[in-house]
Amino acid sequence: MRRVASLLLASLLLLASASAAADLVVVTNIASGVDKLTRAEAVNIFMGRYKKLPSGMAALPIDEEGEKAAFYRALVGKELPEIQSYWARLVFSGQGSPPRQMENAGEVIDIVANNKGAIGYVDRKKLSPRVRIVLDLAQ
Amino acid sequence: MGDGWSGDVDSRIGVQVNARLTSEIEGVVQAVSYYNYAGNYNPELTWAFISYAPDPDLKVRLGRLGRDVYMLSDSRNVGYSYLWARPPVDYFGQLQISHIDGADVVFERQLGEGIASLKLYGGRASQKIPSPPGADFDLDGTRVLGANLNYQKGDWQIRSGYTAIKIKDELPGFVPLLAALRATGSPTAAGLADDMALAGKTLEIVSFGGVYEHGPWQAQLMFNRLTSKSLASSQRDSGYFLLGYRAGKWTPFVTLSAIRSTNDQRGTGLPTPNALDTAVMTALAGAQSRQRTQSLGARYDFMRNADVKIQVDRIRVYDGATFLWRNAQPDWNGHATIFSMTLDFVF
Repeated sequence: MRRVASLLLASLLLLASASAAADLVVVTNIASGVDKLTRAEAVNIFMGRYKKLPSGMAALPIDEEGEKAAFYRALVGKELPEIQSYWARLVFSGQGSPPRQMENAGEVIDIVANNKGAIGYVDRKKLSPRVRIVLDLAQ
Repeated sequence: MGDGWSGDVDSRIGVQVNARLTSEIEGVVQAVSYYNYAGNYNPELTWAFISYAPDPDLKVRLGRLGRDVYMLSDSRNVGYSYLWARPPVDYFGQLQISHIDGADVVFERQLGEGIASLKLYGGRASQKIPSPPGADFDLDGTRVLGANLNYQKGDWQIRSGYTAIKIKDELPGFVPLLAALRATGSPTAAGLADDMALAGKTLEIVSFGGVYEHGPWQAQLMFNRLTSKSLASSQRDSGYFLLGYRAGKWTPFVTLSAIRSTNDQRGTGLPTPNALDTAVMTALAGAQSRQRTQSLGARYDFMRNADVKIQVDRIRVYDGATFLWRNAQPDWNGHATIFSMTLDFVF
C-alpha cells in the first residue's frame, strides 16, 4: 500500500515538476574552498567520474530522494531507471559507489553543513545560510 | 543447429559483498553462478580483491580482478547494466578471460572539463575455456598484462586499450597434430608445427571505442584487433555499433556486429597427397571466425531494479568459420536467427 502511495506521489511530483520545474541548486559546505561549479564538474562528481571537488578536497556527493528524478533530468537528461542501471554497472564492476541517499532537504543541508567535502542539491525555497550555492540548475 | 528454446544459456545469479575496512581500504567479493560451458551451474569466484585508495584519484587493487579491456566487459554478468538481452557475440564471444589474479592501478586526472583515467594491470589467468572439438583449454599460468586509457567529457567517452596475453599451454586440439608434424622428421613440417603452436606465444589485443549518450540517445562504437605469431590466430578483427533510444520505459535498440579472422593456410611440405596436410587445413580452418550479426531489440524498465528485454539476432556465418559455435554441423548453411528474452533484477 505504501508502495502504491509513493508511486502515486511520485507521479504527482512528476506532473508538478513538468508544469513548474523546481528551482534546484547545488550546494557545498561553506569551507569547501569552492565558490562556483560548472555543470560539467557537477556531472563528473554526481556521476562518480571524479571523486574530488575543484578545490582538491575529497567529494562526498549526496542525493535527495524527493528531488532525485528532477535533478538527474536537469543535469544529464536521464530518467531514474537509467541512473540506477548506470550505478549498477559501476558498483558491480568495483568502480565506485553511488551518492549517499538522504530523505529530505533538511537532512541534505545537515550533512553538507557538517562535512567539508559534502555536496548536495536542494530546492532553492528550502535553502539555508549554513550551506553555499555553487551552481543553479535553472540557469 | 536446430530449433528450440532454452532457459539455461543466459541464466545467472550473482552475489557481491563490499566491506569498507577504513576510508581508504575496501574488500570486495563477487561470486556468479551461470550456465557455463560444461553444462552445469557451478558458482565461480569472479572477484575477490582488496582496494586501497590513498587519494581520491589513485586506486590500487590486489587479488582476483574482473577484466575490463572493453568498456562493458567487467560487468557483462550484470544484465541490468546494459541494453542487450545478449551482448554481441561477434565482439564479446572471443573475450574468454573473465578475470585475472593480480593487481591493477588506476590514476584519474581532471583534464579540461573532462576526466582522464589510466589503468595498468597485470596478473595470471586461472580458468578453463571450451575449445571444441577438443578438450577444454586450460589457461592456468597464462600471463596477462595491459593498459587502458579513458577520457570522458560531457556526453562523450572514448577508450583505447592494449593487452598482451602470454599463453602457457597448447590448445588441446592442436597437441596430437603438432606432435605428428614434428614426428615426421621433416624440417618444414616441424617449422609449421612451431608456427601453428599457441603455447609460449603472445596474443596482442588493441581496442578502441567511443560511447555517446545524450538525453534519450545512446550510441556505442567499438573496434578490436587481436594479433599473434601463431597461424591459428594471426589476426582477428571485430567490432560493433549500437544505437538505442529511450521512449519512456521502453528503449528500442539496434546493433550491428562482425568478426573476421585471417586464415593463414600453409602446407606441410611433405609429398602430396598426405593426411597431415588435410589435418592442418582442418585445424586452422576450425580456429577461424567470420560472421556478421544484425540485432533488433528493446528493453522495458517495468519497475525499479528490474527490466525485461527482448532481442532478435540474425547471424550469417561465412566460409564455415564456426570457431564461436559449438557442435556446428558440416552441412549447416551458416544462417541463424536467435530470439532472446531476459529478465534482470538487482537487489
